[in-house]
Amino acid sequence: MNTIQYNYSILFFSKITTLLFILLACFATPISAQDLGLSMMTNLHQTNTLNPATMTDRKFIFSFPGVTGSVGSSDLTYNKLTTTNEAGETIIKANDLVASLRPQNTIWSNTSLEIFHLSFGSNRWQISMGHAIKMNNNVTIPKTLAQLVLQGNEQFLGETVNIAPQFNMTSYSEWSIATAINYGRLTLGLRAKLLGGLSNFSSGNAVANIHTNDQSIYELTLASDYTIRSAGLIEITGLEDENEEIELTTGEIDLFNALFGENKGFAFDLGATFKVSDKLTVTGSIIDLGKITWSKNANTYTSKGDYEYKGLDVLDLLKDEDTNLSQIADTLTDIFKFNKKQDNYSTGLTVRSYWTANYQLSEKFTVGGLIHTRHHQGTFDPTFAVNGAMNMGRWWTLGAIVSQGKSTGFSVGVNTALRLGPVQLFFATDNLPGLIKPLDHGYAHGRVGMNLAFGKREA
Amino acid sequence: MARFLILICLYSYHSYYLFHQTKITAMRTLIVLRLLCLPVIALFIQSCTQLDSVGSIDDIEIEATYALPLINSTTSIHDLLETSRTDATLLTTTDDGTLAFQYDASGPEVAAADLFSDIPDFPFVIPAERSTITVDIFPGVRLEILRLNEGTMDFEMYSQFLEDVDVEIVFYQLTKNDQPLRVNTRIVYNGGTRTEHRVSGIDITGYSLALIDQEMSVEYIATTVITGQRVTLEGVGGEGRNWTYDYVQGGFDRNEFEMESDTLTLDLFDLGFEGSLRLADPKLDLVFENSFGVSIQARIKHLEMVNAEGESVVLSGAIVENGFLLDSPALNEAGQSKTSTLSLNKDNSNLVDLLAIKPQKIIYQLSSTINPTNRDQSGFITSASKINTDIHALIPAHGSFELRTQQETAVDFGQPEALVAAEFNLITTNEMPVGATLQFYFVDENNTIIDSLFTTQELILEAAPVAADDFPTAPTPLTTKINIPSDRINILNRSEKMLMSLYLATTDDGQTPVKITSEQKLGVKLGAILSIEE
Repeated sequence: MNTIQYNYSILFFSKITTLLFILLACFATPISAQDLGLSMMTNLHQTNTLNPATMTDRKFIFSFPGVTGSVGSSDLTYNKLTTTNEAGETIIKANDLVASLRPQNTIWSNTSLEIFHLSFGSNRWQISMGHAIKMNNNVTIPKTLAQLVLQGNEQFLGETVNIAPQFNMTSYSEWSIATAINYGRLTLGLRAKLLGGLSNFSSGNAVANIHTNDQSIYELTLASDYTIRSAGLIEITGLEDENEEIELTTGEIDLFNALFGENKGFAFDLGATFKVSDKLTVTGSIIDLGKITWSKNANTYTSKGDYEYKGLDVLDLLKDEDTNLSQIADTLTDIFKFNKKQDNYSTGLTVRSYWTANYQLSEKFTVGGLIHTRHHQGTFDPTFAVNGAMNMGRWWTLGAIVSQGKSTGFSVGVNTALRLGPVQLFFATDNLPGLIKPLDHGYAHGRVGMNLAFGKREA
Repeated sequence: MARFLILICLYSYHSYYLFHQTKITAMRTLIVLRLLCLPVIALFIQSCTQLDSVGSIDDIEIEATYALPLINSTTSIHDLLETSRTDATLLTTTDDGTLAFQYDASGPEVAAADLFSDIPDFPFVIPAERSTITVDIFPGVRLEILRLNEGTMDFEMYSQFLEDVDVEIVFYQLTKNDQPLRVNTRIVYNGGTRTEHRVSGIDITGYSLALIDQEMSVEYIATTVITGQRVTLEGVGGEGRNWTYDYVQGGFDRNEFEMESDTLTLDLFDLGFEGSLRLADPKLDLVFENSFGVSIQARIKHLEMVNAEGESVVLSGAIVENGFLLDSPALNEAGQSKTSTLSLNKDNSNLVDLLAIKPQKIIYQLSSTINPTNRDQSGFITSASKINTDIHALIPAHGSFELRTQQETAVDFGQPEALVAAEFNLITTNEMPVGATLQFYFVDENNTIIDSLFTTQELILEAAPVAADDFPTAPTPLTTKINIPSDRINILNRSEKMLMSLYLATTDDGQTPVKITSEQKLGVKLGAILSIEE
């Protein structure tokens, strides 16, 4: 074998292994959530999903299918919650668990099955379209609930505490079409999204107050104003009947409804980029402004009531031999008894915004800053980040990002992009330590993707 | 791990070797890319390794303190008595609203047949054609009117005449429908010198005999059949047989008789308490229903109360010596009855002393006297006349007491390992003028007292103060804290028996009389703060 044959065999072997790994990586479970690092990778087409005004240096781009997901918690980690005792058993110390909680603790996960993404245009305009199926879940548990269950209510004597958890589990299909138009230094973008709701299981009003009287014999006053909604493929039974067990079931769906959903909704993204100077570019976008109206199999369960438990009436026990302590439990379940109503309702998407500023220090080095916000069901979650990127020649960019977020805490991420001819490969993580040691971090994020990009766009 | 590192090194060296072997940029690019995969692989291997260590949670260590209400009851005496079993036939209230226990029982009965048995057969002679016969058939009764329920008369007569003789006997004072009794018969001559003739079974049912000075007039008219001549027979006589009376009127001599002894059971004091009790205003009524038309005086010959220990006190007082005159129906009220009540109270007897021993039963015997003053006056009895006696004991909850009891019960606290400490908060609100102190002793298997709930007998119920009328004025709240730290929890877990010592007393430690109503309430609230570790 001569040198040329050997080189080509090496090339072939390298291609195969590399391609296999990349494809495996695409279909593995890397995770994406806030995509802070991604939003700063301005030459990557995926930034268009975060700002419809972003136009890369290629006129035609096709993104391969991929699955992305993310999971995180309010600074809760497995290793923080658990410990090992002398016998080598994994245990949870309740007091340590409670001490590590914030007033509101959210566990969230986002999964997106991106079927395809396509973009084409000219130097001054761009049209993008795509389809994805998204699943967004979050559960917010108040610290007071954990305190009450694990530490008791004696600490709350004389106080009223709300222990109601909130949750939202939504899956939907998203068809999108976007346009970006350049006006010199300013580029404006708009994306319209047709949403098809597949399933929703969420809470509405979330009030479950408990008051323990400190002036007498610790009478308990319970007040509920709690709403649970379900629609689409998810059905919950047993909430309205205390004799029935609560059961969550999922239905079946055909391909058409899986692609387009049975519950319609609409959303849009707005974005803009502005080149302040040759070195400084600022961008801003607001995405997922929209809602889904749930009408298929839509049910609302409402529990509203007040109850005061003052203790057992011993005289009733003496009078009625059939009275037993289970009546206490029956009475307590009465207050949380749900009334079912078949009713349409709407849920809004989590509105996100990205505000970036990138400054090119030199030909190779760029720095930037980012403000990212998430707004959902009355909660506001901001994140601040600074990013630095270095161009290693024309084909490789390496960046690092440091962020501080309300729900993600302090994170250090890296991102890199390779341009091998028409093939773009990229990897980004907003929290590298979370990938390496997921049990020690409450937030893990990563994204790998591949695009085919043709046609250089002139600036 | 070592093998993995070796593979990494081999992989890196191979890639480095390839990079230096080739000059083609694209190939070098791919080799660099291959090298860059290493950190990505390392990331995933590192995270997968860590994720592999995730196992199931074996245990959760909890240290929690829960505050819970346990008991919240408000009850009244009325409710408590409803749930208890008492022989009291009636829970009632007096005029001023004081709760009262009433015990009723039917006493002995005296019927006319017990005093005056049926009329014995009595013979009589009619010596002349017109005679008067003395009727003295009730000892101790100067008979005036006798209404017969049933009976018969037999006659025997002798004729010396040598022919048949018709005889008519007339009892002018033995009448029925205002018609005197007439007996007609014929003595048939038998051919001898003396003819004997009998007439039997003359029915005199429904006849009334009205006597004058206890005598009745009788006349017989004998006439010969052939000549029709009125004659005088050798002898005429008769006999009243199987007479039963329906009504007797006359003068009754003084006569004393006794009733049967009877017992009334009381369960009011059967509570297992020792101590003193002083009821302020008890009453004992004897109710007589009398249908004898004669003057009768009743007396309590003997009445004593006996408690569970066998201690007894005998009734005394003016009422015992003087007796009690019963109301009786008048002559024109035959068939009716009159009711009289003999009341015993604190003023006419030592009833308060009797009840102070907390009796379980009342044993009594009555006696009665007909015409106690031996007056000469008419009275009556009928065959249905009787005296019924009922006894009613009315015990108002008015008085003072201090009582104590000790109850032992087996306990098993179940050794709840998770419970490490407890604090109980007991709040009582008392409208009753009765206070209570309580103590619990915990006893182990060797019958040794290992702990007590309180340091001393603890006041858990404050008696409500009373006004001048003995009624409570305002409810009295009391809060008692019971602290059981972890070391005492362990002691309690070892106990096998619990000895309860309870002391109850009316206001001012049992010195002040109080009135208890059925509506006075007692509120008991118990909350707990429980510390658990598991």
